[in-house]
Amino acid sequence: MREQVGLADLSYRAKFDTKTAPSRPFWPLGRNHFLIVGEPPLSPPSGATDVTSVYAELLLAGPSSTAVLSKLTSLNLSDAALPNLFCAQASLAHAHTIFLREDIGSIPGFRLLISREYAESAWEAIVHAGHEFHLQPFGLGALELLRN
Amino acid sequence: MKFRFHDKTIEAQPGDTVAAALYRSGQRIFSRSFKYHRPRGLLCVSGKCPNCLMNVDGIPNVRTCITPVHEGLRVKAQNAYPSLETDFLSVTQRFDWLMPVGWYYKTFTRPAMWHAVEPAIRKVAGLGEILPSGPREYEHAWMHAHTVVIGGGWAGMQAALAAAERGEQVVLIDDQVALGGQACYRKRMGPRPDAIIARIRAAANIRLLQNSYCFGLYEGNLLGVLQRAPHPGASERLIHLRAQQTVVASGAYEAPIVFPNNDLVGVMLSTGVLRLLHLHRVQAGKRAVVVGKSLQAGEVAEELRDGGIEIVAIVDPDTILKATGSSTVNGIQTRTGHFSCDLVVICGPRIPDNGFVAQAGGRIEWSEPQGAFLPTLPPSNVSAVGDASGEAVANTIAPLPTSKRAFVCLCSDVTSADLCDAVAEGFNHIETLKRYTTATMGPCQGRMCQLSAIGVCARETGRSIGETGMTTSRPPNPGVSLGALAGPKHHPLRRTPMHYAHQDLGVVWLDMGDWQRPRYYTDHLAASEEERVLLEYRAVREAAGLIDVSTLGKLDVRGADSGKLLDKVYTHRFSDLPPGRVRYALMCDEGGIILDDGTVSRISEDRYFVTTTSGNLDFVQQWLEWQICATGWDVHITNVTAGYGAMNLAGPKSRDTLRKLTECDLSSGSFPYMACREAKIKGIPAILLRIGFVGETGWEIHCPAESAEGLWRAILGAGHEFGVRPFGVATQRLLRLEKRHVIVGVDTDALTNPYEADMAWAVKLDKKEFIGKTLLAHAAKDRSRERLVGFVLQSPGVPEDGAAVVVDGQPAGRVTSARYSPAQLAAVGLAWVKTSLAQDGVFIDLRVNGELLKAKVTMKPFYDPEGVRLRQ
Repeated sequence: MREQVGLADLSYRAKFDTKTAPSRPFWPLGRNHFLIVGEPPLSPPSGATDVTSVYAELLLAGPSSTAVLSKLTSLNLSDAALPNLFCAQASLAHAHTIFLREDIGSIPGFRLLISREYAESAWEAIVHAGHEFHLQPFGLGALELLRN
Repeated sequence: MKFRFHDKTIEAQPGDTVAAALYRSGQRIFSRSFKYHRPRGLLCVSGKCPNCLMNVDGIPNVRTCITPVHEGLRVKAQNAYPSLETDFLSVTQRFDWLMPVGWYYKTFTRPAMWHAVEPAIRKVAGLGEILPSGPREYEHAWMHAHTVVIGGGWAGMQAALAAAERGEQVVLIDDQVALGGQACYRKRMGPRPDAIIARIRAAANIRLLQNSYCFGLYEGNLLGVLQRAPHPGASERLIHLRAQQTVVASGAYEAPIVFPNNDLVGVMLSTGVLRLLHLHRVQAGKRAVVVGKSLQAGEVAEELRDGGIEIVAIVDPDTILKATGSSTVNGIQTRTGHFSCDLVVICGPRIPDNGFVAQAGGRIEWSEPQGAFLPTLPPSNVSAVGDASGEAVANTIAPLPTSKRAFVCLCSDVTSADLCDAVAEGFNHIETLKRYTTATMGPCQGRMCQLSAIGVCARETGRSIGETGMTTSRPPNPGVSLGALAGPKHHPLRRTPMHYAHQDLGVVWLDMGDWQRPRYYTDHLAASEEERVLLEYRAVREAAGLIDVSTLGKLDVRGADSGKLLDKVYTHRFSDLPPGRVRYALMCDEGGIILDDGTVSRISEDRYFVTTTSGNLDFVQQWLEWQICATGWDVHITNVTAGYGAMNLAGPKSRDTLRKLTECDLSSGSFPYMACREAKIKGIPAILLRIGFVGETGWEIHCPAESAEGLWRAILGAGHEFGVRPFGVATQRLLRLEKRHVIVGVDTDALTNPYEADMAWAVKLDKKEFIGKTLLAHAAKDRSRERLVGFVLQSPGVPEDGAAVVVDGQPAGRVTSARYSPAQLAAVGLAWVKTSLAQDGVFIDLRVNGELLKAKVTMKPFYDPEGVRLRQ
C-alpha cells in the first residue's frame, strides 16, 4: 500500500442513506441525498434507511490506486477533479459505484461502494487490473499499521 | 537480444525495431503486395506505409518498422507462399490485364460467380491472417488532461513544455521509436534535442505515452489512443483520452514519387534511409541514386555521403524513365542514361499530417503558394503546430507518368494507369475515384498515395488541385485492432447472496441478464432436466421447496405521502393497506399498458416494502423518482435490492419447517394469506410475506444479504426430515404456469393492458386518479381485442413457446408459455386468442411439431383453482 496499491474488503462498515442533511459528517450524493458511512455500531439518524447490506465497501489505497481505477472507469480521478474527501458516482467495471476519496495520510485512498451482488465481480476486475502494479489484498491489521 | 524470424535467429541491438534488425541481418523483402504479390521492401521506416507489415507474436499486420524488439519475439511474413523471396502467387501480375481497375464491380455482379471465386480470391489477396488462438490481453483505460499533444517531434515537445509551464496537465503521445522526430535523424535540424527530451521526462505534469498512436478524434474532444505493449501482461491498451485542448503536432510525412517500377525493393524514401542510418546505424545500401529537386536532394546526398553511402548520381524526377531490376532495384534509367545502384533514395513531397484537425471539424484546403493541403479555421479547442500546420513545408508535385507499373497506391496495387482508366470510365470526383479504385483505402489510409491520386485526378479532369480537393479523413486512421476496441474479457456478474450454497448443491445456472440464477439442481436420482424438474416439482407440491428469489427488485418506500404515490403509480389501492398486509401490484403507463408487477407490503404506518420483477427494477425506481420530482411529495425511495437476500419456502410442509426456526406464530389464524410480519428466524431479522407465486402455503422471506446464505442452509437443514428440496427457475416456471400466474414481458408484450391479460381484479377504476386510468376505463369496456387464456392440450405433446393458435385454418393467436403439467397429466399453457374464444370449454387448434392438436380453453388455474392450498 505504501509503495504500490492494496485492496481491502470493508463491507462490515455501517451505511445509512437519508434525504435530510444529517448533523454528523456525511457524503453528499445529490441535492437532497446523503450517505453516512462509519465504523459500527452507528446509530441511524431518524428517517434514514440502513443500506449497510446494500453496498459492499472496498478500499483501494496506495500510490498506484488512481492508475488501477483508470483502467476500469471513465471517471476523472485526478487530485483536481476528485480531491480528498470528495465523492462521485460512476460505472466501475460495468457496475454502478460510489467513489469516496478518503486518503490515509498522504496515501491516496478510494472507498468504493458497489451494489453487493456486483461486488465479487468488481473485486476480480480490480485485482486483474492491478496485476501490473503488484496489487495485494490487505486486511484490517495492515490498515491499522498504516494509520499509526 | 535475439528474436526469431521464421526459423532464423536474428540478433538485435538495443533500441532496434524489428525491421531495423531484420534489415541489418540482410533481409530486403519485407512483404508481398496485396494484389500482384510484388516484392516490397522498407519504404518510410516510420509506420506510415504498408510495406513492413508482418505477423509479430501472432498479431497480424504489425508495423515492424516502429515496433521495438524484445527478447524472444516471433516474427513471420504474411501473404507470401512459400517465402517472401519466392512467392508463387507473384504470377498474378502476369494476368493484370484480366484484372483491370474496378474488376470486382464489373465481374462479380452474378451471385454464382461471387460464391465460386470469392473464397479463392480471399486466399490470394489480402493481408495477414487472424489466428483465433493467441494469448492476447487487451485493456481499456481512461485519461483526462488539460492539453494533449499528438506527436513528440520538435514542435510537439515545445508545445508540451509550454503547456506544462503554464501549470497544465499534459499528455504527450508519440508513435516513433525515439522522441525528437526529425531532429534525431536530420543533421540540418542541428544537434539531437537531448536536453529538451530530458526536460520532458523530468516534468511532473507531463505524462508521456510512447509506442502509442492516436487513431481518431471524436465528439467532445475524445481522442482514441492505442498504446502497444503497455506492460508484459497486455498486448494492447486502448485509452479514451479527454482533453480540453488538442495540439496536433504530428509533423509532415514524405510521400513517394510516381514512376515505372517505383515499388522495387531498394526504392526508399529519403527519411526512411536517414532513419535507418541515424536511428539504427544501418546503411540502407552501398551505392545510391538520389531522386529529387536540387536543393532538397543535395542536402540528403550530403548526409548520406557523411554516413558512408556512395552517391552515384542526383537525378531530377522530371528526367526519370523507370527504375530497373527484377525484384530488387539495380539502377535508374533516365533520359540521359542508366545509373547502376542498389538503393534509390526518393526525396518526395512532404505532406502535413493534419487529419485530426479535419476530424475535429476544421477545414483542410489547398494552399497554392505552399503546395500543400493546410488546415484553415480549426475549432477553438484544436490547433496544429509545426510541420502539421504547414509551417516550413514547401512541395512541388512531381510528374505523374501514366504506366501500368507506376504505383500510386502501394496498399492495393493501384497504378497511375488504373487511375486514368477510372477517370475515363466516369469516376471523375476524388471521392468516387477513391471508392472505385480503393486508392487511399488501404493500411496507409492515403498517406503514401493521396497527393498523387489527387494529382492524377486533377490532370485527367482538367481541374486544379484545389478544385479537386482531398478525401474526407475519418477515424480510425491508422487502423486499430478489433480486440483493442472490444477490450478486456470482463463480464460483470451479479451473484445472489446464496451463490455458493447453490454451487454446493450442484446447481445448473441460468443467465438472466447479468444475474446468475439456479435453473435446477443436479441429483443422483434423476438424469435429465425433465426428471430433475419433476423431482423438484413433487417436493414443492407434496412436501416443500425453497427457491432463491434474491433477484427480485426491492424498494424501501418511506415518507408521509408514500401511500399516495403508490396509489398513483399502481392500479391497485395501497393507501388503505393496513400495516402487516401485502397486495399484488400492477403498474401501467399512461396508455394502460402493463409495465411491471410485484407486491407492496406495508411494514409499518410510514414504511412500505415494494418488490418488482428482476429485470425492471431500474426502470421502476426511475419511474417512481420521476413521479416524486413531478409532484414534490414527501417520499424517500431507497433501492435495497442488494441489501436483502430473498427466498421462497412453499409447500404443505413449509409451516412445519419454519416453525422449527422461529417463534413467530405461523398459523393461518394469526398469519393469514397476504399478510406480512417482521420476525426473527434462527436469530436473523427477516421480513416474511405470506404470498404464493407457485400456489402452495408459503412464505417469501427477506433477510439481510450477509445472513441469507446461513438462513438458506438453516431452512434446508430444518426441512430435511420433511423432504424439503431446493428448486430452480425451471421448476418455478412450471409451478406458476399451473396457477396461471402471468410473467410480465413473457406472457404480456408492449401492447398488453390488464383487461386483456385477464387481470381486471387488479385495477381499481373507482380510485380518484392514477396513471393510465382514462385509457383503462375505456379498455374495460373494449371487447374487440385479444385475451390471454389458459389451455389444456387434449393429446400428447407440448407446444413450443410462440406456437400458432389456429381456428378454421386461419392463424388466430399464439402461445406464450406451455409446459407439461403433472397436475393435469397434459400440456397446459397460456395463449393469446380473439375475445370471442375466451370462454371455458371452447376448443382451439394449436400447431405442435407441424400437426394441429386440439386444446381446451379455460379461464381458471390448472391447479387448485379455488386457491384452497394457498390459504391452508
